[in-house]
Amino acid sequence: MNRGQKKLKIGIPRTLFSSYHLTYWRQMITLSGMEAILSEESSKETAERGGRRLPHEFCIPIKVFIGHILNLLDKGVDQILLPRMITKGKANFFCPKLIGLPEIVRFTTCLGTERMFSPEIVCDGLGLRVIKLPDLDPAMSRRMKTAARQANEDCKGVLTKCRTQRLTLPEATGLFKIDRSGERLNIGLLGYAYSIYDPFISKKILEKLYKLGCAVTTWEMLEPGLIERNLAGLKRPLFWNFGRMLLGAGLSFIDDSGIDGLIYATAFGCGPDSVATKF
Amino acid sequence: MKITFPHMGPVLIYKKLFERLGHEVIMPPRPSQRTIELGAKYSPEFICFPFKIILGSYLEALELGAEVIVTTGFIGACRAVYYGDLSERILRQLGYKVKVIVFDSPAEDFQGFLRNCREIGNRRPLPEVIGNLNLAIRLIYASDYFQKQITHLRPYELISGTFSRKWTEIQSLLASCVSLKHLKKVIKEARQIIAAVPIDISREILKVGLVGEIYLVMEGCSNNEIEEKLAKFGVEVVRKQYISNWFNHFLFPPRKLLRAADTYLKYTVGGHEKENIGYILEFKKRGFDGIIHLLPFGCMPELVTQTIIPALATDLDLPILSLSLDEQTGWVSNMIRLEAFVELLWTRHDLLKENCNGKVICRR
Repeated sequence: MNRGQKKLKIGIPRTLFSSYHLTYWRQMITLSGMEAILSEESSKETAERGGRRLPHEFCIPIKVFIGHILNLLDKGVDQILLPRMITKGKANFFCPKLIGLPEIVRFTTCLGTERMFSPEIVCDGLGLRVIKLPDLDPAMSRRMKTAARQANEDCKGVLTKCRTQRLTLPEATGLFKIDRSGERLNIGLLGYAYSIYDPFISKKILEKLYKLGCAVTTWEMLEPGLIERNLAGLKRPLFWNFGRMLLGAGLSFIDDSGIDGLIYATAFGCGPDSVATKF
Repeated sequence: MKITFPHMGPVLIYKKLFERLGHEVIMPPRPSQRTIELGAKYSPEFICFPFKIILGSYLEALELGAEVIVTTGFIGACRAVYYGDLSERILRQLGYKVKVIVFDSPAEDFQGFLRNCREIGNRRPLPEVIGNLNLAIRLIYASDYFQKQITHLRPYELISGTFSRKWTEIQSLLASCVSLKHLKKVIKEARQIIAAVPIDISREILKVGLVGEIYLVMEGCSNNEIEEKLAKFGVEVVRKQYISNWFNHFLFPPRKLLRAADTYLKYTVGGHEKENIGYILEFKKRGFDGIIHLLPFGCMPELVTQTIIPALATDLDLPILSLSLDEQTGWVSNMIRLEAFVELLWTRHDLLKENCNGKVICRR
């Protein structure tokens, strides 16, 4: 990119994959010399706008996601980040709706492929690795690759911060601040990051729990090893990437005497959860 | 061992196979309203419709005394992967001492596959097991062949319901087959049965392709016998999903078909969505009048197809009706939708005729 030329604006929808890996994406885009624009926080309107474009059976996170895309388009971004999440490994997948996300967006918002910025990403639990970048000029690709490496480090840093300081993801990334005093109970909160940290989908569950004087423990505060150990006992552990972590965390919460209660927040019609809740 | 299995495809032939291996077979009753209600009662709330039917039929078979359930599994992003384990868990929680044997693809878990084979083989010598398996597979192919024939000819039948009766007859004929030599004779007989049905081949009919989630497409009891209902409207329903076809695709992935779907969906998301898009494209090429797409409510892979369908319909200039089914489905409203869809297809059919000049006469 030449100096003087306008920076490419890339929009990041602030839900689904970026609720997990926001740091990664933001760093990767800004470090490679583009401008990252976040969509606004979701509201009722976001969900309604998105919902109108989709078959009615879709789960609320996807509806909200489409709403975020529309919001970004209003903001006039050049391209929208829509990573293609693939997993390597035999027993590790994403929910079909997440794998097909670029297609869902393409056919519901009539967004041309030229406006989608979709790198192919291998996500193995928490770490991310770019395997294929969209067609860019070679200099840009190289810059992007170094940026990705740096971004991955930062992303891991955030997760370590979560574990050591017992913070939830949005707290660790600085999106959300709340004073925590007078914690009497310790609640294990289970749910996908894009559901429980989304102010519209979860109706600010985190804030409400803090106000009631509860401390919250979530999967990101647990050691990944502990999660895997808990899953190892199952005959056929869950294959869905995010779901696995939740199930592992949930199982360890049940054994943990420090946890006073469990809350499982799930979206209506969530496929993976319909299976996970039976375990 | 008292064995049962999910009610899917030619069940009489599975029964035959297990009986020949020396097991006692409890036939799963044909899914009814009661089956669906039973299944829905004990299933997780949001699980897909096929699971509810299958769980219901397991429960009914267990009532009849079944001890072992044999089913298939695979590894993928679709929920169907967990059907076996999930049903075992639920049935155990309900207090049934049941064993679920899940046959995974041998490519993914060879050891487990062998172990299962040994268990099902019932200490019979290997050649006998293979011989029986061979016969069963041939029977399945024959059964699917006749089913295709019957769905092809059904809209032409003079006395409505004849082919459905003949189909039961052919099924029991096939199930009575004892050897490969006998099979040849049976096939000949079945051909004669079909040829003897009075038909009016000059009738003008429509051709509609049926795609969607494999269980709903294959099982008449889960889709309210959509093929027979449409045949009464003078519509031939063609579907590609049969057990034999599934078997073929499993052994030889249909590369050409999947490549054709690439423009719409580049990656497979876990189910048969790419195949379905490929089928729709193929049906268009073969000059079909329309497509009916069936999906269970909240089906994860097929929802992705559903978002693509509007674009497909416009690109191909082909009417596609998407029906989402579950235990709450009211078939009266769906029948009205089907009738309206067929009416639309007839109008299009007439409009496309050369001498029509855009004027359409109401047919019926």
